[in-house]
Amino acid sequence: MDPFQVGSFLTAGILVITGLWAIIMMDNLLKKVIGANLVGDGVNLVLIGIGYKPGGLIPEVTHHFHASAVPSTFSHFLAFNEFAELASYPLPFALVLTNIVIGASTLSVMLALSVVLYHKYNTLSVHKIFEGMEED
Amino acid sequence: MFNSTLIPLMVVFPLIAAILVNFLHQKDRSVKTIAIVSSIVAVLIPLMTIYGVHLFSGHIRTESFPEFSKLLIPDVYMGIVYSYGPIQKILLALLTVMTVFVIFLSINRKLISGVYVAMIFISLASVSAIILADDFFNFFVFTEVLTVAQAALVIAVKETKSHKAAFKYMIFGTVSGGSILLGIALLLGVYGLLNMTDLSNAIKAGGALQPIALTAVALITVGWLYESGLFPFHIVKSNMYENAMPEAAALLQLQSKFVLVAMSIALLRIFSGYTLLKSVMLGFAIFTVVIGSVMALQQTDLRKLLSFVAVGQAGLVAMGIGLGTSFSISAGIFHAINDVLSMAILFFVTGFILDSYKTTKLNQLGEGLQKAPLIGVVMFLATLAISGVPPFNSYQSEFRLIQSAVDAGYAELSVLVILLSVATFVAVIKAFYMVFMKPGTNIEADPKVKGTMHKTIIVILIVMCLFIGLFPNMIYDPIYNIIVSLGV
Amino acid sequence: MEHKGKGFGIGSGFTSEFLMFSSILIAGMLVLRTANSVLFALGSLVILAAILFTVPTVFRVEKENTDSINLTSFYVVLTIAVILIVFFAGSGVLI
Repeated sequence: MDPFQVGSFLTAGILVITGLWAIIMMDNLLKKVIGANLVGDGVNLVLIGIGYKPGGLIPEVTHHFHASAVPSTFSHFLAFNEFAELASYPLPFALVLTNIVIGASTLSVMLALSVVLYHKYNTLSVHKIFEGMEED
Repeated sequence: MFNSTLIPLMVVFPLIAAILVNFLHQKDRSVKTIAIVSSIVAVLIPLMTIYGVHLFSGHIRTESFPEFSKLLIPDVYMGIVYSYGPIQKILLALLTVMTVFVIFLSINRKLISGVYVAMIFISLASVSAIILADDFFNFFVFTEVLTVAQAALVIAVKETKSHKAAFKYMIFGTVSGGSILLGIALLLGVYGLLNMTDLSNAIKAGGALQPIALTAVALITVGWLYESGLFPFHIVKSNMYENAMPEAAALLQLQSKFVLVAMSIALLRIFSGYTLLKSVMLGFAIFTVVIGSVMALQQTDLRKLLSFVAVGQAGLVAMGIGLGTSFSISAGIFHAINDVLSMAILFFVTGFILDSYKTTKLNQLGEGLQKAPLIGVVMFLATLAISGVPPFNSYQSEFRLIQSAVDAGYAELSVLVILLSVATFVAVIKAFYMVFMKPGTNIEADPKVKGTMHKTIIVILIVMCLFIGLFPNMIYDPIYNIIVSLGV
Repeated sequence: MEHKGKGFGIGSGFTSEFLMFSSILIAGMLVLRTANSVLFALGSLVILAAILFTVPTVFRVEKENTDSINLTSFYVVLTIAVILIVFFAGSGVLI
């Protein structure tokens, strides 16, 4: 495996473990939310790292191939096997984009909940908010 | 390949309805009309669709060029696939009918906020997609959407307890969602495939699982535990059921059980023949059943009691699936279908009690049979139904679960299932006694609350329970045939 | 908690207690059944004696199942670790 890929997987592992640590160990509500987001970031990095190809092309047709193009004959598209050999794996990018959107929506809901809980309890300490006596 | 247009409509139509009612928020009459019409149309779509497969954008099954791509199978699906068969039809029909009931009850309670109804439709669309999807990443996306929609349904109660419950649910939802996606990413890296049918063929062709694939199995199992509400996530799930409006809680527990069924079938199909997975599922299921029933017996609040009963019954479904034989898996799925009906009746009765008495604390309630005799009788029948008393439906499914446990060689588990049915009966009959028969209450019922809608719906549901109990093979036989043909 | 002292509370307490230790016994029997029969019989008796000495267990179970976020996080991490170890150990990759 390429050293760059190994490095990105290791970074992703560090991100996931840091996120899990923050969720478990941190007493601040916002730090737990940040930890949850870090887990998602680490997983995104794993996905992109899977699609890495050293020296690979972006898997879309660029201007370089348009230079001598005659659009009506589609001559600006590369032959199939050249493109397949040179391009990096395009699928993980789609997955990561979707996951970023999902992460953004869950983050927004969690932050909104944090704001509401802060207004009610005037503290961000998880111990005071969640472990205090339930007003039954 | 037959490319049905109605199959994706089961997901797209509730989403369109959700966007419409959200847009028309605060125009109450339009929201009410669109909600009722859309939910009734959503019931008709699964009944009209014929079985088949939908290939998005028409990407047919193509050759995979194994010498270039190093894929382990000769041909693959190139796009997202939704598949619709008898099990999906039964699950979706029940899901949409229940959604209609919940929307009627929410409108009855004057909860016709456009955003609230939109969240109900989004959760319906998500569970439909989870049941239909044959693509693993699409499956994951809709589990995340479902998490947000369910949290929104609980947040709508606007009490601090519900905000705290939703926060905990979302934190653990993000962790488990990340876990599932990491598992999918590792499977993508090892096998290069996302489609569940292709993955199961590739894993069968690839021999023993490599360590990376084992990590993927473990991570996806953790995600499965969260989506189903099994140990250790039973606390957050029961917290969610307890803090939602009772009608929404009925919908939440139904969605969780159906996601449990869909995800278990997906897991067992993909990692077929991996017996350790089934043993792990069985272990967590047993733990959940025991803890759910024990905790249910200790509760003094009706909603909390019912939420622990719901969690315990989900564990029973997972136990059937974890036993691993075709008989037990189909018994588990049958039990999921039966159990959501009886739990829904109990939750709807709770909704009526909350409306009339403004509290669900068992020690403050009592003498309910004088105010609402019909609802009391139906709750008693639902107690019998959920405990596995003939002629109701859970008797048929629990009988099959016990028989399949003995056939699989785990006779002790059949003893456990019997003990748990008794424990569930004790817990719920205690609640029934304390709400409806206990003398000497000091709370007055609200005389304006008639509960006609509640009464109609729970009578319909108890008749359905009785019907399935008397004619179980109508629902059981298609499920059994499909599970045998899947060969899990 | 005040209603737990009356008839309904005591009845459900006893039921849950009985359910708790019969499930521990059954789980123990399920695991020990794969070993030889002497271990099975002796182990079951030991488990039965141990449970009868530690009643009431149900209040400890109830305390462990409160909806506190820290307790749930602990159990979640424990579960992830246990599942990973079980899958790796069961497949023979780790020796």
